[in-house]
Amino acid sequence: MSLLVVAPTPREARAIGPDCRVTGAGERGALALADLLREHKPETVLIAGLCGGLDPSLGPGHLILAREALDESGEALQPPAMTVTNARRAMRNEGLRFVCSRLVTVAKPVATPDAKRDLWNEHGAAGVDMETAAFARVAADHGAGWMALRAIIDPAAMSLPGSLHGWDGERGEFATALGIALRPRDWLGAGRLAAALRPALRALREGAPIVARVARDTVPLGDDLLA
Amino acid sequence: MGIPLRQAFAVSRYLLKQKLLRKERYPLVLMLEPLYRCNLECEGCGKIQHPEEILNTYLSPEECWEAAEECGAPVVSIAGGEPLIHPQIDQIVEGLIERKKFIYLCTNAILLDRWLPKLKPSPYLTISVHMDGLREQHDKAVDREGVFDKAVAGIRKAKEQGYRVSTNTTVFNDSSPTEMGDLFNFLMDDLNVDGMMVSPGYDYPKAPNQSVFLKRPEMIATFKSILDSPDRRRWRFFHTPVFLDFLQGKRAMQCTAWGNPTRSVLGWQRPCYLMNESYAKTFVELIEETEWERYGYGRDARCTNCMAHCGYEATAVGATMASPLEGVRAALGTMGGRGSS
Repeated sequence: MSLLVVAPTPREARAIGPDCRVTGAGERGALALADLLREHKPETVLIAGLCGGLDPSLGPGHLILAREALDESGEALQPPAMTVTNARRAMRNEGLRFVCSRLVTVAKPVATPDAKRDLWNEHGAAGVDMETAAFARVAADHGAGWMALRAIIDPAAMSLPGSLHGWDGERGEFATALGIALRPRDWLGAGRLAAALRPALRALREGAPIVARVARDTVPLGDDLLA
Repeated sequence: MGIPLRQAFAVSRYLLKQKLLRKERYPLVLMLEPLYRCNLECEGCGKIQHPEEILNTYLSPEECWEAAEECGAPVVSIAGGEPLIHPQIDQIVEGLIERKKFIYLCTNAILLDRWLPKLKPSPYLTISVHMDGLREQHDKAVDREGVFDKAVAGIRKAKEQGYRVSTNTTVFNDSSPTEMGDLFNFLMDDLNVDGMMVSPGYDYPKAPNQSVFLKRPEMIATFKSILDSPDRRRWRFFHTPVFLDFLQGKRAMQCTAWGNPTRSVLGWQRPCYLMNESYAKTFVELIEETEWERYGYGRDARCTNCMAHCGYEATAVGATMASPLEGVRAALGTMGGRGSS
Protein backbone atom coordinates (compact mmCIF):
# COMPACT_ATOMS: atom_id res chain seq x y z
CA MET A 1 0.00 0.00 0.00
CA SER A 2 1.35 3.44 -0.83
CA LEU A 3 1.41 5.72 2.18
CA LEU A 4 1.58 9.44 2.81
CA VAL A 5 2.64 10.49 6.30
CA VAL A 6 1.60 14.00 7.34
CA ALA A 7 1.94 16.20 10.42
CA PRO A 8 0.64 19.73 11.06
CA THR A 9 3.89 21.42 12.09
CA PRO A 10 7.57 21.14 11.12
CA ARG A 11 8.52 20.20 14.70
CA GLU A 12 6.14 17.23 14.70
CA ALA A 13 7.26 16.22 11.21
CA ARG A 14 10.92 16.30 12.25
CA ALA A 15 10.17 13.93 15.13
CA ILE A 16 8.38 11.50 12.84
CA GLY A 17 11.08 11.30 10.16
CA PRO A 18 12.22 12.55 6.76
CA ASP A 19 9.26 11.08 4.85
CA CYS A 20 6.72 13.08 6.82
CA ARG A 21 5.13 16.03 5.00
CA VAL A 22 4.07 19.22 6.77
CA THR A 23 0.51 20.38 6.11
CA GLY A 24 0.00 23.24 8.51
CA ALA A 25 -2.63 23.17 11.21
CA GLY A 26 -6.41 23.56 11.21
CA GLU A 27 -8.35 24.41 8.04
CA ARG A 28 -5.22 25.52 6.21
CA GLY A 29 -3.78 22.06 6.82
CA ALA A 30 -6.81 20.35 5.30
CA LEU A 31 -6.39 22.37 2.10
CA ALA A 32 -2.68 21.51 1.97
CA LEU A 33 -3.49 17.83 2.50
CA ALA A 34 -5.91 17.91 -0.45
CA ASP A 35 -3.09 19.25 -2.63
CA LEU A 36 -0.71 16.54 -1.40
CA LEU A 37 -3.31 13.85 -2.10
CA ARG A 38 -3.84 15.09 -5.64
CA GLU A 39 -0.09 15.16 -6.20
CA HIS A 40 0.91 11.80 -4.62
CA LYS A 41 -2.30 9.74 -4.92
CA PRO A 42 -1.51 7.53 -1.91
CA GLU A 43 -3.78 4.65 -0.92
CA THR A 44 -3.51 5.55 2.77
CA VAL A 45 -2.68 8.66 4.80
CA LEU A 46 -1.13 8.50 8.27
CA ILE A 47 -2.09 11.61 10.23
CA ALA A 48 0.42 12.03 13.05
CA GLY A 49 1.23 14.71 15.58
CA LEU A 50 0.66 16.00 19.09
CA CYS A 51 -2.65 16.44 20.86
CA GLY A 52 -4.27 17.44 24.11
CA GLY A 53 -5.25 14.68 26.52
CA LEU A 54 -8.86 14.22 27.62
CA ASP A 55 -8.65 10.73 29.14
CA PRO A 56 -7.53 11.55 32.69
CA SER A 57 -5.56 8.31 33.02
CA LEU A 58 -3.08 9.38 30.32
CA GLY A 59 0.00 11.57 30.70
CA PRO A 60 2.45 13.36 28.43
CA GLY A 61 3.93 10.96 25.89
CA HIS A 62 1.01 8.55 25.88
CA LEU A 63 0.10 7.64 22.32
CA ILE A 64 -3.45 7.52 21.00
CA LEU A 65 -4.14 5.28 18.03
CA ALA A 66 -7.46 6.49 16.61
CA ARG A 67 -10.26 4.00 16.28
CA GLU A 68 -12.58 6.86 15.40
CA ALA A 69 -12.26 10.56 14.56
CA LEU A 70 -15.05 12.88 15.63
CA ASP A 71 -15.73 16.47 14.74
CA GLU A 72 -17.38 18.87 17.18
CA SER A 73 -20.85 17.97 15.94
CA GLY A 74 -20.13 14.35 16.88
CA GLU A 75 -19.94 13.10 13.27
CA ALA A 76 -17.57 10.14 13.23
CA LEU A 77 -15.19 8.62 10.70
CA GLN A 78 -13.51 5.25 11.19
CA PRO A 79 -10.18 4.04 9.84
CA PRO A 80 -10.05 0.46 8.47
CA ALA A 81 -10.67 -1.84 11.45
CA MET A 82 -8.18 -4.47 10.32
CA THR A 83 -5.33 -1.97 10.01
CA VAL A 84 -6.18 -0.55 13.42
CA THR A 85 -6.13 -4.04 14.95
CA ASN A 86 -2.79 -4.85 13.34
CA ALA A 87 -1.30 -1.52 14.45
CA ARG A 88 -2.57 -2.07 18.00
CA ARG A 89 -0.92 -5.49 18.12
CA ALA A 90 2.35 -4.17 16.68
CA MET A 91 2.46 -1.29 19.17
CA ARG A 92 1.71 -3.65 22.05
CA ASN A 93 4.48 -6.00 20.91
CA GLU A 94 6.90 -3.08 20.94
CA GLY A 95 5.87 -2.18 24.49
CA LEU A 96 4.65 1.32 23.64
CA ARG A 97 2.44 3.25 26.07
CA PHE A 98 -0.71 3.74 24.07
CA VAL A 99 -4.47 3.41 23.93
CA CYS A 100 -6.75 2.79 21.00
CA SER A 101 -9.53 5.32 21.37
CA ARG A 102 -11.34 8.25 19.80
CA LEU A 103 -9.89 11.60 18.79
CA VAL A 104 -12.07 14.68 18.68
CA THR A 105 -11.20 17.60 16.42
CA VAL A 106 -12.00 21.20 17.41
CA ALA A 107 -11.38 24.62 15.87
CA LYS A 108 -9.55 26.19 18.86
CA PRO A 109 -7.33 24.70 21.56
CA VAL A 110 -9.18 23.22 24.55
CA ALA A 111 -7.25 25.07 27.17
CA THR A 112 -8.56 24.34 30.66
CA PRO A 113 -9.13 21.16 32.72
CA ASP A 114 -12.86 21.97 33.01
CA ALA A 115 -13.25 22.32 29.24
CA LYS A 116 -11.35 19.07 28.75
CA ARG A 117 -13.54 17.31 31.33
CA ASP A 118 -16.70 18.43 29.56
CA LEU A 119 -15.38 17.29 26.18
CA TRP A 120 -14.38 13.94 27.71
CA ASN A 121 -17.81 13.44 29.25
CA GLU A 122 -19.47 14.37 25.97
CA HIS A 123 -17.45 12.32 23.50
CA GLY A 124 -15.32 9.79 25.39
CA ALA A 125 -12.37 10.75 23.20
CA ALA A 126 -8.93 10.17 24.69
CA GLY A 127 -7.45 13.16 22.89
CA VAL A 128 -8.30 16.42 21.19
CA ASP A 129 -6.61 18.05 18.21
CA MET A 130 -7.35 20.55 15.45
CA GLU A 131 -6.92 18.37 12.37
CA THR A 132 -7.66 14.63 12.49
CA ALA A 133 -11.39 14.58 11.64
CA ALA A 134 -10.98 17.19 8.90
CA PHE A 135 -7.95 15.39 7.45
CA ALA A 136 -9.76 12.04 7.57
CA ARG A 137 -12.68 13.61 5.69
CA VAL A 138 -10.32 14.99 3.02
CA ALA A 139 -8.64 11.58 2.68
CA ALA A 140 -12.02 9.86 2.31
CA ASP A 141 -13.11 12.44 -0.29
CA HIS A 142 -10.00 11.58 -2.30
CA GLY A 143 -10.60 7.83 -2.07
CA ALA A 144 -7.74 7.23 0.35
CA GLY A 145 -7.82 5.32 3.63
CA TRP A 146 -6.48 6.95 6.77
CA MET A 147 -4.90 6.16 10.11
CA ALA A 148 -4.15 8.59 12.93
CA LEU A 149 -1.60 8.52 15.71
CA ARG A 150 -1.28 11.30 18.25
CA ALA A 151 0.99 11.80 21.25
CA ILE A 152 -0.36 13.67 24.24
CA ILE A 153 1.50 16.82 25.17
CA ASP A 154 -0.90 18.54 27.60
CA PRO A 155 -2.77 15.98 29.71
CA ALA A 156 -6.34 16.38 30.97
CA ALA A 157 -5.34 18.14 34.20
CA MET A 158 -3.00 20.68 32.55
CA SER A 159 -4.04 24.22 31.56
CA LEU A 160 -2.52 25.76 28.46
CA PRO A 161 -0.79 29.15 28.78
CA GLY A 162 -3.20 32.03 28.15
CA SER A 163 -1.43 33.14 24.98
CA LEU A 164 -2.26 29.77 23.35
CA HIS A 165 -5.98 29.90 24.12
CA GLY A 166 -6.89 31.55 20.85
CA TRP A 167 -4.30 29.79 18.68
CA ASP A 168 -5.83 29.05 15.29
CA GLY A 169 -3.01 27.22 13.58
CA GLU A 170 -1.95 30.26 11.58
CA ARG A 171 0.66 31.58 14.02
CA GLY A 172 4.13 30.08 13.68
CA GLU A 173 6.44 28.84 16.45
CA PHE A 174 8.42 32.07 16.70
CA ALA A 175 5.32 34.26 17.01
CA THR A 176 3.90 31.84 19.60
CA ALA A 177 7.11 31.87 21.64
CA LEU A 178 7.21 35.67 21.46
CA GLY A 179 3.61 35.86 22.68
CA ILE A 180 4.52 33.71 25.69
CA ALA A 181 7.69 35.70 26.39
CA LEU A 182 5.65 38.90 26.59
CA ARG A 183 3.25 37.43 29.17
CA PRO A 184 5.16 36.54 32.38
CA ARG A 185 2.09 34.87 33.89
CA ASP A 186 2.31 32.30 31.02
CA TRP A 187 5.87 31.33 31.82
CA LEU A 188 5.08 28.63 34.35
CA GLY A 189 2.51 27.00 32.08
CA ALA A 190 4.86 27.30 29.13
CA GLY A 191 7.60 25.63 31.18
CA ARG A 192 5.30 22.71 31.97
CA LEU A 193 4.37 22.42 28.32
CA ALA A 194 8.02 22.50 27.27
CA ALA A 195 8.81 19.73 29.76
CA ALA A 196 5.97 17.62 28.33
CA LEU A 197 7.10 18.24 24.75
CA ARG A 198 10.14 15.99 25.01
CA PRO A 199 8.34 12.72 25.99
CA ALA A 200 5.55 13.53 23.53
CA LEU A 201 7.93 13.91 20.58
CA ARG A 202 9.88 10.83 21.67
CA ALA A 203 6.67 8.79 21.70
CA LEU A 204 5.79 10.06 18.26
CA ARG A 205 9.26 9.17 16.99
CA GLU A 206 8.86 5.62 18.32
CA GLY A 207 5.23 5.03 17.41
CA ALA A 208 4.80 6.61 13.98
CA PRO A 209 7.19 4.28 12.10
CA ILE A 210 5.39 1.24 13.55
CA VAL A 211 1.96 2.44 12.49
CA ALA A 212 3.37 3.51 9.10
CA ARG A 213 4.81 0.03 8.56
CA VAL A 214 1.51 -1.63 9.47
CA ALA A 215 -0.44 0.78 7.24
CA ARG A 216 1.87 -0.04 4.32
CA ASP A 217 1.72 -3.79 4.90
CA THR A 218 -1.99 -4.23 5.58
CA VAL A 219 -4.36 -4.66 2.70
CA PRO A 220 -7.75 -4.10 4.33
CA LEU A 221 -10.40 -6.73 3.61
CA GLY A 222 -13.20 -4.24 3.95
CA ASP A 223 -15.03 -3.84 7.20
CA ASP A 224 -18.11 -5.71 5.90
CA LEU A 225 -16.03 -8.91 5.73
CA LEU A 226 -14.75 -8.53 9.30
CA ALA A 227 -18.11 -8.30 11.07
CA MET B 1 -20.47 6.74 61.09
CA GLY B 2 -20.03 5.69 57.43
CA ILE B 3 -17.30 3.19 56.59
CA PRO B 4 -15.96 1.88 59.93
CA LEU B 5 -12.63 3.34 61.00
CA ARG B 6 -11.15 -0.16 61.27
CA GLN B 7 -11.96 -0.76 57.61
CA ALA B 8 -10.81 2.70 56.53
CA PHE B 9 -7.44 2.18 58.26
CA ALA B 10 -6.99 -1.35 56.89
CA VAL B 11 -7.76 -0.24 53.33
CA SER B 12 -5.49 2.84 53.66
CA ARG B 13 -2.65 0.65 54.98
CA TYR B 14 -3.13 -1.78 52.09
CA LEU B 15 -3.11 1.04 49.52
CA LEU B 16 -0.01 2.59 51.03
CA LYS B 17 1.74 -0.78 50.86
CA GLN B 18 0.88 -1.14 47.17
CA LYS B 19 2.25 2.35 46.52
CA LEU B 20 5.48 1.57 48.38
CA LEU B 21 5.82 -1.67 46.41
CA ARG B 22 5.26 0.43 43.26
CA LYS B 23 2.61 -1.95 42.01
CA GLU B 24 0.98 -0.59 38.88
CA ARG B 25 -2.16 -2.73 39.11
CA TYR B 26 -3.63 -4.09 42.30
CA PRO B 27 -7.11 -5.12 43.41
CA LEU B 28 -9.20 -3.23 45.92
CA VAL B 29 -12.39 -5.30 46.11
CA LEU B 30 -12.72 -8.95 45.16
CA MET B 31 -16.08 -9.51 43.49
CA LEU B 32 -16.82 -13.08 44.52
CA GLU B 33 -19.65 -14.81 42.70
CA PRO B 34 -19.97 -18.25 44.29
CA LEU B 35 -23.02 -18.96 42.12
CA TYR B 36 -25.07 -17.44 39.30
CA ARG B 37 -28.37 -18.92 40.45
CA CYS B 38 -30.87 -16.33 41.67
CA ASN B 39 -34.39 -16.39 43.06
CA LEU B 40 -35.34 -13.23 41.11
CA GLU B 41 -35.21 -12.16 37.48
CA CYS B 42 -34.62 -8.40 37.72
CA GLU B 43 -35.28 -6.49 34.53
CA GLY B 44 -31.82 -4.89 34.45
CA CYS B 45 -29.75 -7.95 35.40
CA GLY B 46 -27.24 -9.53 33.02
CA LYS B 47 -25.83 -12.14 35.39
CA ILE B 48 -28.39 -14.91 35.36
CA GLN B 49 -28.70 -15.82 31.67
CA HIS B 50 -26.33 -18.79 31.86
CA PRO B 51 -27.19 -22.38 30.84
CA GLU B 52 -28.70 -24.61 33.52
CA GLU B 53 -25.49 -26.56 34.19
CA ILE B 54 -23.65 -23.33 35.01
CA LEU B 55 -26.52 -22.09 37.18
CA ASN B 56 -26.25 -25.38 39.08
CA THR B 57 -22.51 -24.97 39.69
CA TYR B 58 -21.44 -23.44 43.03
CA LEU B 59 -17.97 -22.51 44.26
CA SER B 60 -16.98 -24.45 47.37
CA PRO B 61 -15.99 -22.54 50.53
CA GLU B 62 -12.39 -23.64 49.94
CA GLU B 63 -12.43 -22.20 46.41
CA CYS B 64 -13.82 -18.92 47.76
CA TRP B 65 -11.13 -18.65 50.46
CA GLU B 66 -8.42 -19.56 47.96
CA ALA B 67 -9.66 -16.81 45.61
CA ALA B 68 -9.55 -14.26 48.45
CA GLU B 69 -5.99 -15.25 49.38
CA GLU B 70 -4.80 -15.38 45.77
CA CYS B 71 -6.20 -11.94 45.02
CA GLY B 72 -5.21 -10.27 48.29
CA ALA B 73 -7.82 -7.48 48.17
CA PRO B 74 -8.80 -6.23 51.62
CA VAL B 75 -12.50 -6.13 50.75
CA VAL B 76 -14.65 -8.96 49.40
CA SER B 77 -18.06 -8.34 47.90
CA ILE B 78 -20.05 -11.58 47.72
CA ALA B 79 -22.44 -11.22 44.82
CA GLY B 80 -23.99 -13.54 42.30
CA GLY B 81 -26.72 -14.69 41.66
CA GLU B 82 -28.21 -14.62 45.11
CA PRO B 83 -25.50 -15.64 47.60
CA LEU B 84 -28.03 -16.74 50.22
CA ILE B 85 -29.10 -19.61 47.92
CA HIS B 86 -25.61 -21.10 48.43
CA PRO B 87 -26.00 -23.85 51.05
CA GLN B 88 -22.62 -23.07 52.63
CA ILE B 89 -22.72 -19.28 52.56
CA ASP B 90 -22.26 -19.13 56.36
CA GLN B 91 -19.03 -21.13 56.08
CA ILE B 92 -17.80 -18.98 53.20
CA VAL B 93 -18.41 -15.82 55.27
CA GLU B 94 -16.82 -17.28 58.39
CA GLY B 95 -13.68 -18.31 56.52
CA LEU B 96 -13.32 -14.87 54.97
CA ILE B 97 -13.73 -13.21 58.38
CA GLU B 98 -10.98 -15.50 59.73
CA ARG B 99 -8.80 -14.11 56.93
CA LYS B 100 -9.67 -10.57 58.10
CA LYS B 101 -11.44 -9.62 54.90
CA PHE B 102 -14.11 -6.91 55.02
CA ILE B 103 -17.15 -8.57 53.52
CA TYR B 104 -20.17 -7.07 51.78
CA LEU B 105 -22.72 -9.86 51.56
CA CYS B 106 -24.99 -8.68 48.74
CA THR B 107 -28.52 -10.01 48.88
CA ASN B 108 -32.09 -9.30 47.86
CA ALA B 109 -32.94 -10.28 51.46
CA ILE B 110 -35.67 -12.78 50.49
CA LEU B 111 -33.82 -15.53 52.40
CA LEU B 112 -32.14 -13.29 54.97
CA ASP B 113 -34.48 -14.33 57.77
CA ARG B 114 -33.32 -17.98 57.40
CA TRP B 115 -29.63 -17.13 57.52
CA LEU B 116 -29.44 -14.53 60.28
CA PRO B 117 -29.33 -17.17 63.05
CA LYS B 118 -26.43 -18.93 61.28
CA LEU B 119 -24.32 -15.88 60.54
CA LYS B 120 -22.65 -13.89 63.32
CA PRO B 121 -22.49 -10.08 63.55
CA SER B 122 -18.91 -8.94 63.05
CA PRO B 123 -17.10 -5.67 62.33
CA TYR B 124 -15.85 -7.45 59.21
CA LEU B 125 -19.34 -8.27 57.89
CA THR B 126 -21.80 -5.90 56.25
CA ILE B 127 -25.06 -7.20 54.86
CA SER B 128 -25.73 -5.22 51.69
CA VAL B 129 -29.36 -5.28 50.66
CA HIS B 130 -30.47 -4.55 47.11
CA MET B 131 -32.95 -1.62 47.14
CA ASP B 132 -33.86 0.02 43.83
CA GLY B 133 -36.69 2.21 45.07
CA LEU B 134 -39.65 2.44 47.37
CA ARG B 135 -42.26 -0.34 47.28
CA GLU B 136 -43.74 0.13 43.80
CA GLN B 137 -40.47 1.00 42.07
CA HIS B 138 -38.44 -1.76 43.74
CA ASP B 139 -40.99 -4.50 43.10
CA LYS B 140 -41.18 -3.41 39.46
CA ALA B 141 -37.37 -3.48 39.11
CA VAL B 142 -37.14 -7.01 40.56
CA ASP B 143 -40.30 -8.07 38.72
CA ARG B 144 -42.05 -9.49 41.79
CA GLU B 145 -44.53 -8.08 44.27
CA GLY B 146 -43.73 -8.23 47.97
CA VAL B 147 -39.92 -8.20 47.67
CA PHE B 148 -39.63 -4.64 49.01
CA ASP B 149 -41.56 -5.56 52.17
CA LYS B 150 -39.38 -8.65 52.68
CA ALA B 151 -36.23 -6.60 52.25
CA VAL B 152 -37.43 -3.99 54.75
CA ALA B 153 -38.33 -6.71 57.27
CA GLY B 154 -34.94 -8.35 56.71
CA ILE B 155 -33.07 -5.08 57.28
CA ARG B 156 -35.01 -4.34 60.47
CA LYS B 157 -34.32 -7.81 61.85
CA ALA B 158 -30.64 -7.72 60.93
CA LYS B 159 -30.25 -4.31 62.60
CA GLU B 160 -32.02 -5.58 65.73
CA GLN B 161 -29.57 -8.46 65.93
CA GLY B 162 -26.55 -6.18 65.71
CA TYR B 163 -25.50 -6.64 62.09
CA ARG B 164 -24.05 -3.81 60.05
CA VAL B 165 -26.43 -3.24 57.16
CA SER B 166 -25.97 -1.20 54.01
CA THR B 167 -28.02 -0.93 50.87
CA ASN B 168 -27.13 -0.99 47.20
CA THR B 169 -29.29 1.03 44.82
CA THR B 170 -29.13 0.85 41.05
CA VAL B 171 -30.44 3.92 39.25
CA PHE B 172 -32.37 3.29 36.01
CA ASN B 173 -34.08 5.63 33.58
CA ASP B 174 -37.38 5.41 35.41
CA SER B 175 -35.83 6.25 38.80
CA SER B 176 -37.10 9.75 39.54
CA PRO B 177 -34.69 11.91 41.56
CA THR B 178 -37.51 12.78 43.96
CA GLU B 179 -38.29 9.14 44.60
CA MET B 180 -34.61 8.33 45.01
CA GLY B 181 -34.45 11.09 47.63
CA ASP B 182 -37.49 9.64 49.39
CA LEU B 183 -35.87 6.20 49.33
CA PHE B 184 -32.61 7.49 50.83
CA ASN B 185 -34.52 9.37 53.53
CA PHE B 186 -36.48 6.20 54.33
CA LEU B 187 -33.33 4.06 54.47
CA MET B 188 -31.51 6.53 56.71
CA ASP B 189 -34.35 7.72 58.98
CA ASP B 190 -36.70 4.75 59.22
CA LEU B 191 -34.38 1.78 58.77
CA ASN B 192 -31.25 3.46 60.14
CA VAL B 193 -28.94 1.62 57.74
CA ASP B 194 -25.22 2.09 58.32
CA GLY B 195 -24.58 3.32 54.79
CA MET B 196 -25.77 3.29 51.22
CA MET B 197 -24.20 2.55 47.87
CA VAL B 198 -25.56 3.88 44.61
CA SER B 199 -24.65 3.21 41.01
CA PRO B 200 -26.15 3.71 37.58
CA GLY B 201 -27.31 0.49 35.89
CA TYR B 202 -24.97 -1.05 33.34
CA ASP B 203 -26.55 -1.75 29.95
CA TYR B 204 -26.01 -5.50 29.93
CA PRO B 205 -26.78 -6.76 26.40
CA LYS B 206 -28.44 -9.83 27.96
CA ALA B 207 -30.68 -7.93 30.40
CA PRO B 208 -34.37 -8.79 29.90
CA ASN B 209 -35.43 -5.14 29.51
CA GLN B 210 -33.04 -3.01 27.46
CA SER B 211 -35.17 0.12 27.76
CA VAL B 212 -34.39 0.71 31.45
CA PHE B 213 -30.81 1.91 31.05
CA LEU B 214 -29.64 5.51 31.14
CA LYS B 215 -27.16 6.96 28.65
CA ARG B 216 -24.14 8.72 30.13
CA PRO B 217 -25.38 12.34 29.83
CA GLU B 218 -28.72 11.27 31.37
CA MET B 219 -26.87 9.53 34.20
CA ILE B 220 -24.95 12.69 34.99
CA ALA B 221 -28.11 14.83 34.93
CA THR B 222 -29.99 12.32 37.10
CA PHE B 223 -27.25 12.09 39.73
CA LYS B 224 -26.84 15.88 39.79
CA SER B 225 -30.52 16.15 40.47
CA ILE B 226 -30.50 13.42 43.17
CA LEU B 227 -27.44 14.76 45.00
CA ASP B 228 -28.57 18.39 44.79
CA SER B 229 -31.35 17.56 47.26
CA PRO B 230 -31.32 19.58 50.52
CA ASP B 231 -31.59 16.21 52.32
CA ARG B 232 -28.21 15.19 50.90
CA ARG B 233 -26.35 16.07 54.12
CA ARG B 234 -28.26 13.39 56.03
CA TRP B 235 -27.36 10.60 53.62
CA ARG B 236 -24.41 8.34 54.45
CA PHE B 237 -22.83 6.85 51.35
CA PHE B 238 -20.18 4.15 51.34
CA HIS B 239 -18.43 6.02 48.52
CA THR B 240 -15.55 8.44 48.25
CA PRO B 241 -16.51 12.10 47.62
CA VAL B 242 -14.53 11.84 44.37
CA PHE B 243 -16.81 9.08 43.08
CA LEU B 244 -19.91 11.12 43.91
CA ASP B 245 -18.35 14.09 42.06
CA PHE B 246 -17.75 11.82 39.09
CA LEU B 247 -21.37 10.68 39.01
CA GLN B 248 -22.42 14.35 38.81
CA GLY B 249 -20.02 15.08 35.91
CA LYS B 250 -17.84 17.31 38.09
CA ARG B 251 -14.81 15.14 37.64
CA ALA B 252 -13.29 13.22 34.71
CA MET B 253 -12.21 9.67 35.45
CA GLN B 254 -11.22 6.53 33.56
CA CYS B 255 -12.26 3.05 34.66
CA THR B 256 -9.92 0.91 36.77
CA ALA B 257 -11.19 -2.48 35.61
CA TRP B 258 -8.61 -4.46 37.60
CA GLY B 259 -9.59 -2.71 40.84
CA ASN B 260 -12.58 -5.03 41.34
CA PRO B 261 -11.54 -8.39 39.88
CA THR B 262 -14.29 -10.99 39.61
CA ARG B 263 -13.99 -14.66 40.56
CA SER B 264 -17.01 -16.67 39.48
CA VAL B 265 -17.79 -20.34 38.96
CA LEU B 266 -16.23 -19.96 35.49
CA GLY B 267 -12.88 -18.58 36.71
CA TRP B 268 -11.38 -15.07 36.90
CA GLN B 269 -13.61 -13.00 34.66
CA ARG B 270 -11.97 -10.84 32.02
CA PRO B 271 -11.97 -7.84 31.76
CA CYS B 272 -14.32 -6.72 34.54
CA TYR B 273 -17.31 -7.46 36.72
CA LEU B 274 -19.75 -6.36 34.02
CA MET B 275 -18.20 -7.78 30.84
CA ASN B 276 -17.26 -11.42 30.39
CA GLU B 277 -15.02 -11.78 27.38
CA SER B 278 -13.05 -14.74 28.70
CA TYR B 279 -11.85 -16.34 31.93
CA ALA B 280 -8.34 -16.67 33.38
CA LYS B 281 -7.32 -19.68 35.43
CA THR B 282 -5.47 -17.65 38.04
CA PHE B 283 -5.51 -14.11 39.38
CA VAL B 284 -1.92 -13.57 38.23
CA GLU B 285 -2.88 -14.65 34.71
CA LEU B 286 -5.81 -12.21 34.80
CA ILE B 287 -3.65 -9.27 35.85
CA GLU B 288 -0.65 -10.02 33.65
CA GLU B 289 -2.23 -11.27 30.45
CA THR B 290 -5.23 -9.00 30.07
CA GLU B 291 -4.80 -6.20 27.56
CA TRP B 292 -6.17 -3.59 30.00
CA GLU B 293 -5.50 -0.67 27.67
CA ARG B 294 -8.27 -1.94 25.39
CA TYR B 295 -11.00 -1.29 27.93
CA GLY B 296 -12.56 1.82 29.37
CA TYR B 297 -14.60 4.84 28.39
CA GLY B 298 -13.78 5.84 24.82
CA ARG B 299 -11.79 2.68 24.20
CA ASP B 300 -14.51 0.04 24.04
CA ALA B 301 -18.06 0.74 22.87
CA ARG B 302 -19.43 -1.45 25.67
CA CYS B 303 -17.98 0.97 28.23
CA THR B 304 -19.71 4.04 26.74
CA ASN B 305 -22.59 4.12 29.20
CA CYS B 306 -20.84 2.61 32.20
CA MET B 307 -20.32 4.73 35.32
CA ALA B 308 -20.66 1.82 37.74
CA HIS B 309 -18.87 1.83 41.09
CA CYS B 310 -17.20 -1.51 40.32
CA GLY B 311 -15.13 0.28 37.67
CA TYR B 312 -14.79 3.81 38.94
CA GLU B 313 -14.68 3.62 42.74
CA ALA B 314 -11.16 2.16 42.55
CA THR B 315 -10.13 5.14 40.38
CA ALA B 316 -11.74 7.47 42.90
CA VAL B 317 -9.84 5.82 45.76
CA GLY B 318 -6.59 6.25 43.81
CA ALA B 319 -7.39 9.95 43.21
CA THR B 320 -8.21 10.36 46.90
CA MET B 321 -4.88 8.84 47.91
CA ALA B 322 -3.01 11.05 45.46
CA SER B 323 -4.44 14.34 46.74
CA PRO B 324 -4.05 15.48 50.37
CA LEU B 325 -7.11 17.69 49.97
CA GLU B 326 -9.26 14.82 48.75
CA GLY B 327 -7.83 12.66 51.53
CA VAL B 328 -9.02 15.15 54.13
CA ARG B 329 -12.40 15.41 52.41
CA ALA B 330 -12.79 11.61 52.42
CA ALA B 331 -11.66 11.40 56.06
CA LEU B 332 -14.24 14.01 57.06
CA GLY B 333 -16.84 12.08 55.09
CA THR B 334 -15.88 8.88 56.91
CA MET B 335 -15.94 10.55 60.32
CA GLY B 336 -19.23 12.26 59.57
CA GLY B 337 -20.48 9.34 57.55
CA ARG B 338 -21.55 11.59 54.71
CA GLY B 339 -19.19 11.48 51.77
CA SER B 340 -19.66 14.71 49.88
CA SER B 341 -21.20 16.09 46.77
